[in-house]
Amino acid sequence: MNEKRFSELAEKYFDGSLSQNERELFDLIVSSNDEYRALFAQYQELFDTFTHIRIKNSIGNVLNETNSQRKSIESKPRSNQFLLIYRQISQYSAAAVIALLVVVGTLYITGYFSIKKEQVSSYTQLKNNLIDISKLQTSIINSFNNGTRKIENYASGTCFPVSTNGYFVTSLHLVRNFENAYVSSAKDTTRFSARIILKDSLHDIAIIKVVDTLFQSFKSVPFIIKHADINIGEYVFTLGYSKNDVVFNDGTVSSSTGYMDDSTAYQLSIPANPGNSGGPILNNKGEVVGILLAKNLNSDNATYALKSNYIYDLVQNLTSDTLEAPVVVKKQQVRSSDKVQMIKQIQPFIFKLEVY
Amino acid sequence: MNKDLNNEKELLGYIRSGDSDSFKLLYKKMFPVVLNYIKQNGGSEEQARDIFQDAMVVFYRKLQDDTFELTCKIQTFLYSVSRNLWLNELKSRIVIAPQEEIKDSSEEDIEVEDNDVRGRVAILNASLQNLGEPCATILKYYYVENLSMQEISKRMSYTNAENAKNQKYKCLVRLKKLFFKNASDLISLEN
Repeated sequence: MNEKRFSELAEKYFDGSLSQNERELFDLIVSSNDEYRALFAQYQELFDTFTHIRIKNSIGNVLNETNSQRKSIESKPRSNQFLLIYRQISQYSAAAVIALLVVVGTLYITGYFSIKKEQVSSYTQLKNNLIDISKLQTSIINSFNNGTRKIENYASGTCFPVSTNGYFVTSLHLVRNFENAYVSSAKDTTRFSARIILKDSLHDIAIIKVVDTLFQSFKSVPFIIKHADINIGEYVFTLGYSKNDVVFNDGTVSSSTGYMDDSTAYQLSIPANPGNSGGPILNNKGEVVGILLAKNLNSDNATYALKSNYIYDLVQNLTSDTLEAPVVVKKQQVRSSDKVQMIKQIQPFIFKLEVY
Repeated sequence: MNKDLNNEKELLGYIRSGDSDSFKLLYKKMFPVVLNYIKQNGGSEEQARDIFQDAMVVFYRKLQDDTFELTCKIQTFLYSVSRNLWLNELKSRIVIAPQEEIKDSSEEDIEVEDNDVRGRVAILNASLQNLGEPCATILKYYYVENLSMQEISKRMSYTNAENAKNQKYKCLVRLKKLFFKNASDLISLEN
C-alpha cells in the first residue's frame, strides 16, 4: 500500500467512516507491520490534534454567542452546533455518532429454518435479524467474526452472473461465515452448489462459482458491469430475493457517496429488505451500475450500493487469477426501451443465494 | 422544550450530544472557580478562559467514548483537567514560573489523561505556520473548518476537487514531518 492510500484509510478509520470490513482489514494491516503501526500512530496524533482545535473553535463560537445574543436564547430553538462537527470527531465518537444519527443494517435474511420450525411470523423474525450498528463497532466486528457463526446457520440473499459459465457476484458479508453456498432461481427449484472464488473484503463483495455439474452455461447474460460512475438523479432499479420470488424495486441515485461520505458507494432511494443483499443495481439501459450493500434503518429512504467499478475491477482480477477463465460478459444484450420488457429479460438472471 | 440542566445526569446527556445551551451553562457555572485558581497561580483571565475551553473539549470528547465513566461531579472533573492543563503550561514555560508555591484548593484530584493536548496544539499551529501557503490554508479548511473538497477547490481555485485532494495529501505529509520534528525538538530542549 502506498502512503497516500494509507493516509486516506487512516483518516477514514479515525473519523469512523470505514465499514466494519474495511476496519477489520485495516487493523490487520496496521498490526502486521511495525512501520505501518508507527505511521498510523503519527496520523492518529495529527488528526486528534486537529479535532481538538475544531471542537474548541465550535465551543468558542457558542460561548461568544452567549455574550452577544443573550436575550434571544430563550426564544430560539436549541442550536445544536456540535452535531455539525460530528462527522470527523474521533474513532470513539464515531461509534456514538452512529448510535445517535443513523443505523445501518445489512440486507440478508437469516434464521429461515428456525422460523419455519416454530411457525412464527417471518416478518418480525427478519426484522430482528437485521444487524444493528447502534451497538459499538467492536460488537459489530464480533458479530461478523464470531457471533454470526455461532448463532446463525442459514442466510440468504441475492447474486447475479458476471460470466456465462457460472461466475456470480454477491456480498461478501453474506457468504463469508458459511461453508456451503447454493444458487437457485425463482423459475427453477434446482439448487446449484457454489464456492467462493475471490473476496474483496475492502468493498464487501465476493465472486462465487457454481461448481455443480448440473449447471449449464448461459447462452448469454443480458447485462454488463458498467465501468463508469452514474449521476445523481438517475433512475435505478433492483431485483432481489427478499422473499422466495424475485421482487422489483426502483428509485433514484440520491447521492454519489454512501454512508458517512464513503466515496466507493452510492446512496439510493430504493426500498430494500433483508434478502436484497448482493442484488444488482441497474440503470434505465439495464446495465449493472452497483450492488446493494446496506440500508439505513433510521432513514426511510436511504439504501447504499457499492459502485460497479469495484465489481468490474474484481472481475478483471478474476480473469487473470483463475485457471478456468470465466467468459466475462462484454456486450449489453438488453436494449428494450420498454421497462417491463427489459425486466422480463433480466429477471431470469437474478439468482437467490442461500448459505449454510 | 423543558431542559433540566440542574440535573447532573441530564446535563451530561446534553453535553454529550453537543447541545449549545449546556456548554453555555457549564461555562457560566464552572468557569469562575477555574478562573480563580489560574489567577492565583500567575495566569490572566484570558489564559484561564483558554484553558477552560480546552478542558471542555477534553470533557466533551471523553463523553463520546462509551467506555468512559464519570466517577465524580462535572465540576470536579473540569476543575481537575483545567488544573492539569495549567500546571503543564507552567512546566513548559520555565521563565514564567509562578512566584509563589502553587495554591491548590481542590480536595479531590482526578487523574485525567490529556496527552498534553495544549502542547500538541501549539506545535501543530507552529508547524502550520512553517508550512506556508497554500498548505496551511488547505489543511485548515479541511481539518478545522470541515469544508468539503469541492468547497475548498472552489475557494482556492483548484480546477477540481481531485486536484485539491492531491494537494491536501502532499501538504498533510509535509505537515506530519514538521509536526513530529518540532515535537522531538521540543522534547530534546526539555532534556
